[in-house]
Amino acid sequence: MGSQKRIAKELSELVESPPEGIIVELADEANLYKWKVFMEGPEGSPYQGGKFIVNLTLPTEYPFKPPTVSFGTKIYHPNVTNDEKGSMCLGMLRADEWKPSSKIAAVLQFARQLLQEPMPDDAIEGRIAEQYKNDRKRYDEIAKEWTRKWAVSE
Amino acid sequence: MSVTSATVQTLSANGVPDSHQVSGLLFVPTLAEDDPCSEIASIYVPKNVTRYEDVLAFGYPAIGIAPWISVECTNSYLVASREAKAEAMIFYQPSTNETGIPPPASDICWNLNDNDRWKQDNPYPVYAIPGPAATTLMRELAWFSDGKTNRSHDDSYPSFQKRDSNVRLFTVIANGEPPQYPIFILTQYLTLRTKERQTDSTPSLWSIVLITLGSIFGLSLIVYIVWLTLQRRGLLQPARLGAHPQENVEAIPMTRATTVHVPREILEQLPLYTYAGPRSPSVASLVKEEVEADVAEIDPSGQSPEPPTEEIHQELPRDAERVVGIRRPAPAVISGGVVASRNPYRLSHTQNMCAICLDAFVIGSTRVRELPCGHVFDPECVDPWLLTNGECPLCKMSILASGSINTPAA
Repeated sequence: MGSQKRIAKELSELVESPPEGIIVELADEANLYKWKVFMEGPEGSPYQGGKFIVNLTLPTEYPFKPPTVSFGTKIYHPNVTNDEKGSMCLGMLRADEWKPSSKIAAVLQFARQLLQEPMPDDAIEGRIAEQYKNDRKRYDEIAKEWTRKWAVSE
Repeated sequence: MSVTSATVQTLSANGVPDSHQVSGLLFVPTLAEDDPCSEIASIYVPKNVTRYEDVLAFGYPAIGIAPWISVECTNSYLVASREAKAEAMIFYQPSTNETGIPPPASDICWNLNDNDRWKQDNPYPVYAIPGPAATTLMRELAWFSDGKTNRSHDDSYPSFQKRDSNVRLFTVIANGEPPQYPIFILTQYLTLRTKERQTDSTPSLWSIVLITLGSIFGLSLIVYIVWLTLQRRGLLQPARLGAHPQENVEAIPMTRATTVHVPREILEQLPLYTYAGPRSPSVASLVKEEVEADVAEIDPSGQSPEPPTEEIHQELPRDAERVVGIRRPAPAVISGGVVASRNPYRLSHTQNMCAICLDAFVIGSTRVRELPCGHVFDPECVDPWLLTNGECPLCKMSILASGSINTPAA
């Protein structure tokens, strides 16, 4: 299976030389298609200090179809659904924008970058996006609070 | 003698019955005693020819017949026919030997110098038949008299002609099946299939057939063109993907609805060659089998827009390129606003692995597919992708971008 070969390659690369603030492992050792990612909140962002679990699911058609990314840890962010799914909406992951040459590392780095710089104009949570744009202070407070509450393990 | 539908010319269609069938007994209109035409016409019209009074008794429609001698005489005949309430009138040019269809109504020979007013004045249709046939007809109309005149007796005619000297030979002009006339009337049939009938019924049947065939043809043509266009634009699936021997079924992208894919025939036109590595002439020699016919297509002089100082650096890749002989029907196939085609290899220099499977290209052995943007991939990786998605997996440049690729020339 071509997809497995590529996924295995990417996995070993990511394990060997992980990008900053990102640690990956398989959610289930027997399943290459479900990854568990630990993402550190970027410095300078309200998510700093938090460790977010990100679930990465790869389709069997990978890399011809994009992976999906969702937050297993609750997060207050304009681009992540504020529900138990925690789906993240990334432009590069949309079917029509996806490129087979995009690698998982790039996807995860992009996701982490989004924690640093939310994209309120491409938001999935309109209310948080409005707040991010108009009342940045309040947004920062809530995001920090949520981070402390959900993403910081004692 | 024969008068068929093909030799009846319509001179006036005035008063043609809806059925377009005119039938009746022939008679020769009687002119006034003092009409000079009586004299003139006598050379064509036997004295004891069938007259209106002769046919009147039978109660059948009557059709006048007369030679077209002069304007005056024709007018006299027309008037006489009108007075006799003839169903129709038949003229013939007695002096012609033409057995074919008489000239059309517009011909000068049918001109009565009254701007065709005569056609309106006479409420019956007027036809013309060939002269020789009419002459025979006229003679036969005179064969049977009331016994007062000599008649030409021809034994070949049916014997009942002799039974009664009062029997007259009538000529019936009818269309189709003969009406049931009394047996002693020898009927002679003229098929008067008039011009109107031909134009109204027969041609209309043909028109229907032609219009139907035309419509079918036109529709098929439109459907075919649409189909071709769709196929060319890659909107239709050109071939089953499973036909590809190296198909990795799992690798087939499922985003068909949103993207335009590359038809297989165009895909197969994209250059496919052995990866020769970045600027490596020694390697290039390994893949010499590729050279052959393609070398001629590449004109080194046209490939170096750089100043001559660059010549040394240009040499190697150019040689490599010649040796590798990239199959590039490029000038014909790839053109236009694409960065492509000038310098093959331009991106394979920087690519050392397939961006899809992440496998490294092996110099001198890996076959690679080059897209118009210059990116190279394993064909078994990129082909299934392109068959369902028309963009480069690396730069997303459309393979079918605005006319950059034409349909392969056979």
